[in-house]
Amino acid sequence: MDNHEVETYFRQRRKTLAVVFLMIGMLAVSGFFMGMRQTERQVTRGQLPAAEIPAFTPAEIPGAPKYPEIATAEIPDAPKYPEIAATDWLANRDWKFTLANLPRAAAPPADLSPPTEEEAAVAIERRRSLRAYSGAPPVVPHAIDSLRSTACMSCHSEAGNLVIGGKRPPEISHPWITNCTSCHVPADGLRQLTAAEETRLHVENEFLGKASAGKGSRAYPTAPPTMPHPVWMRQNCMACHGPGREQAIRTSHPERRNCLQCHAPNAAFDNRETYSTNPKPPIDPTVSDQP
Amino acid sequence: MNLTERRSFLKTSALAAASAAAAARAETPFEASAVPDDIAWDKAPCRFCGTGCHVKVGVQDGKVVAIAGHPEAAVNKGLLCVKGYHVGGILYGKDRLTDPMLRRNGVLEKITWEEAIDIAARRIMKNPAGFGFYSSGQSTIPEGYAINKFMKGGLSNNHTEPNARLCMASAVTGYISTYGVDEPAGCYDDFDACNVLLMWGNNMAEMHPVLFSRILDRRERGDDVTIIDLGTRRTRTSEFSDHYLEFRPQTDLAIANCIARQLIERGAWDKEFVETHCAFRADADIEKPDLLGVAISFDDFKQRIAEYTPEYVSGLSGLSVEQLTLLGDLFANPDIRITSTWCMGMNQHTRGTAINRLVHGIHLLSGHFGKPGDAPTSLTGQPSACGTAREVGTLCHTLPGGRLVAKEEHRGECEKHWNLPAGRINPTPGHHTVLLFEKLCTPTDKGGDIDTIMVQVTNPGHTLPNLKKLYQAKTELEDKFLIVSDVYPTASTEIADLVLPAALWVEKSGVYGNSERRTQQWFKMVEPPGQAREDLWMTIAIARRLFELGHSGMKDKDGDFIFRFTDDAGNEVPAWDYAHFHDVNVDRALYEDYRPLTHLKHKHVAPYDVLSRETGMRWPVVEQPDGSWRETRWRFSEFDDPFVEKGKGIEFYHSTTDDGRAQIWFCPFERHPEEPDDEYPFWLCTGRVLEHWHSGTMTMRVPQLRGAMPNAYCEVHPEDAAAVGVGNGDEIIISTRRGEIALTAWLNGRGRPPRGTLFVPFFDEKRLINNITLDAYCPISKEPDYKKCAARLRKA
Amino acid sequence: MPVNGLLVTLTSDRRRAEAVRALISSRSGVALGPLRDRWQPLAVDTPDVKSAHDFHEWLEALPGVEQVDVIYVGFDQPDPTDTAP
Repeated sequence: MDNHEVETYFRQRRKTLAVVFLMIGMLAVSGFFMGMRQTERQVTRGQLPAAEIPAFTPAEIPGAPKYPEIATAEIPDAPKYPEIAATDWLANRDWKFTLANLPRAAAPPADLSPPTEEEAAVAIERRRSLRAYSGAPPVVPHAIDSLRSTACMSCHSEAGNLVIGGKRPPEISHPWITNCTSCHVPADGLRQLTAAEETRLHVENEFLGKASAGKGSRAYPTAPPTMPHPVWMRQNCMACHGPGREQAIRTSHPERRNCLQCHAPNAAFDNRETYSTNPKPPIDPTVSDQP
Repeated sequence: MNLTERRSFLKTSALAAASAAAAARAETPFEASAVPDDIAWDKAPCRFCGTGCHVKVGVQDGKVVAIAGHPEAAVNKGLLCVKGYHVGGILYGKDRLTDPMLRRNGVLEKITWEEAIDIAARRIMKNPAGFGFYSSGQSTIPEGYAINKFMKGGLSNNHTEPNARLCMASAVTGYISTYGVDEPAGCYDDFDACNVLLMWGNNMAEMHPVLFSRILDRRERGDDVTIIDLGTRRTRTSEFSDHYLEFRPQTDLAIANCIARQLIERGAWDKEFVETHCAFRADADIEKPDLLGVAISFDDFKQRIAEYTPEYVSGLSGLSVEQLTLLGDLFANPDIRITSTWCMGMNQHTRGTAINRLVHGIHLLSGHFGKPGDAPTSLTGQPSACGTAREVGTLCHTLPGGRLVAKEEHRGECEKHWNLPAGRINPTPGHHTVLLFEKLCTPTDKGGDIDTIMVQVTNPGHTLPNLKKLYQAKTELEDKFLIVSDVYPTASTEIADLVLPAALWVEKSGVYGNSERRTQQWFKMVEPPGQAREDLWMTIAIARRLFELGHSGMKDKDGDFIFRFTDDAGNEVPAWDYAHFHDVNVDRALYEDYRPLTHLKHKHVAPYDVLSRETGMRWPVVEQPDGSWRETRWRFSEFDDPFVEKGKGIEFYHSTTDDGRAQIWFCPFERHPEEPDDEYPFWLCTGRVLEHWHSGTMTMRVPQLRGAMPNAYCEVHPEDAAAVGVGNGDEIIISTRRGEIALTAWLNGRGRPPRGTLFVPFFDEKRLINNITLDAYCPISKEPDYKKCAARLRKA
Repeated sequence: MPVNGLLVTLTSDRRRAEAVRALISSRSGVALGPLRDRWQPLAVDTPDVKSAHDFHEWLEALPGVEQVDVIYVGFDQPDPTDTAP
């Protein structure tokens, strides 16, 4: 087949080829969107076998504080058990650097196979268990410093696209709000201070919160899906959909930052007042039905 | 590739595309993409604190299923705190009270509403003067207004008190003795404009977190804001603050005086402002202080304040001279804007009125007043302490709209408005809260002149100080009777004789008033459980039963029932009959009846129908020529307040001296009546935590909130703990002169008290710290001091 | 000689869906893909555009078919100058 023949062949079949290329493109896009809709499935994924986690050395993290430069003389030893009651509770070598010493690594490339039904169910249940209803601030599934929230961002920030101690901390989606603990409280507070259950007030609650709406809808198979949740408090889309985040809801096109250009918010998720149950009377400050 | 091959290839491609689409669809079944359009959203103020955040309430199938911060609400701008996000859960605790119950042989037994209302009415009928009505800063404006009319206008009985006496009374007396009228001049917009936020004993990060975030967000954006925490223990607020100034309890009086002294010493006070707009005042007799005091000269003021040098006050307060000078420098600087906030630290104080006056005083003296960002603003703990307790006036000495029972003119105005015969309203103030319950708990033959109290929307069995004396002692007295309306079993219902199940929050309509003069309205959205009914209905039904029993006070001048509601056609609606209670909007009718009464003190609240479309409006709300309604952000300032005479700049038009001047008070530092000593060497402070609201009746039923904070504890300094051989999590016994309580010690916990101070939150009904708190109160405001008493500590 | 890829949305009533599926598969020139939930992909080869339209309308009119989406349209009308096999 010489050049002429090749050109003729393509000219003759350009329609067919166009359709083939269109189809391939479509498959790729719809494959991506199918991935997009697999919401919340991999919340618990990302745990690597310990052997796969590269050993941590401070130098691997740009800008990480250089702890060893602190004079060791400033850090007291942890008290011995018999001494605890009589010893000041001060910073000491044994706990101060725990976080910094945890092995951390950049998040690995996510598993490309879709999660199984069981895995998805586990992940969805775990997400639900941390929230009173869809839209409620999640409770914190670990112990916290009860006084300060300055430490929160060392894991839950953009830099937290790291696997720390085998876990990938979720990134804050509203970073301008700094008083973290005013909305996010530990699920199991006080811990060792929690009194025996029979001495506490404990009443069951029958509040049934709104469930997550699940996946967004799309007008046709390759259309960009709508957002199945409000934008408010989730303005930083990349916190959940960005590179390194869960594969099921991760964007394939992180370079496009104007997400709302294509992914429409849905009015039904804007919590708009409907006023349907309470028709309001016209404004009439001169009231006739005074008692 | 031949034709057949090509067609086959095409067909395979077509099938593959269609199959891919089918797979994509199957991943998105139509029912899963369901949009929650069956959730109806409506607005309501949050049920909890006095910040007055607006929430959106999502209702589905007659139940609240979701909450969202209201993005258009000026107060919270879409943000809530953890309590607000979980406010929907408070309706669904499993032990909601659903039936009226009467105690027979020590056991509460179900009865009908007819019986319950009849029993309550007959108790009152037997001895109308021995009846007390104890309501709350969570009562809605229509509820409070109905109570006031029923008690003061109907029964000629002034023994009506709100729990706000335990919470806001010192702020009220501070405002009145300074400006001649209650409520702050500034508003939350000051937080957006100030350069310095000075918090006086105010853990805003936990108690008013949404307002605190408003400031933090500004600092985060790079605005010039300095946050100063003036406190007696290190808290989350201290951690966010630029300066944490830790002082010894009670010495706030000396610190405020020290700031005033520095201003005068340096000549840095605002001479023009003070000469034009202020006068000086002091108590005539410091042993018997009163609300209005006597005028003193500037020289006299200067002389009295002279002893409060930084060196002297440093010795008293524990602040360094540098820290005191820092405060002096700030107030001496006219180029910055300073907002002071306070809450229970200054109000629950045996010199609560004095410290309120002093903080207003340093703002006036320095001219840090009346400009955006320059304001002394008290924050309230309850959603309608301002709107109901203060503005409607459910205190024992007040009438609606800032009126006083002691003033003949004011009584006359109310009698005329309510169409009552002249002289119906009793001129003698009733018992204040502590006295009211003391009289209930005192045998009748020993001067206990109160035999029945009706409690609504509050939990005195948990929140009164010195509970054994002021509440539990009632059980010994056979002839005393306690009626408690509540939503859950509480420490109050535990010994109540008659328990009435109440509707809660969006199970009823209501109107609240928040800390910044903002009136907020909401409609009923869901049905209350079982037989639970509106508190407002209970008041009207009891009044109606008294009317039927022949109590003459339940009739107006024309012989009509005092709660007369009419429909559009002018026919009377029997609102006392629950079947007809919702035939008219009783809330709207009562609110609109109340509204003209707010004009006397220029507190013009907005019309009901305007409020129904707004996320609250700040009074005075004045109608404009174009028919719109304009709210007021800064009171007494000409640029914003329509009632200031043009050209005056600032005018205190309700001045106690009738000359447009505010009063700068001198109040000396005085020691606390129960300072730590050798026997009881610790200060015991009580307070709140972020997750729980007051006595925890509502928040302890929400799993997320209870999970975070399941029980009370005692914060102890590690060295104090070590001294008694106690470690973190060990059981300790705290005792005061009134009793003892077992708690868990928390070292280096959420709050960190200095040596010699203990802190215990009061939310836990299984660990009632108020069994051992002191019932001493401010002599002017009658507000008890829950923040200080002497205690000791030992290992359990 | 169009070749179309269609996505047929069947009724959620499984029994009726199965019946209509059998009916569709009996037409000549139709290839059915794997059924996914309620969605039946198919490819159809028709002699001309008009018969493609007729087939589409026939599908839409079938009881048990709720919707027909066109996913793929392929035309292969050889260039008259094409002499290659």
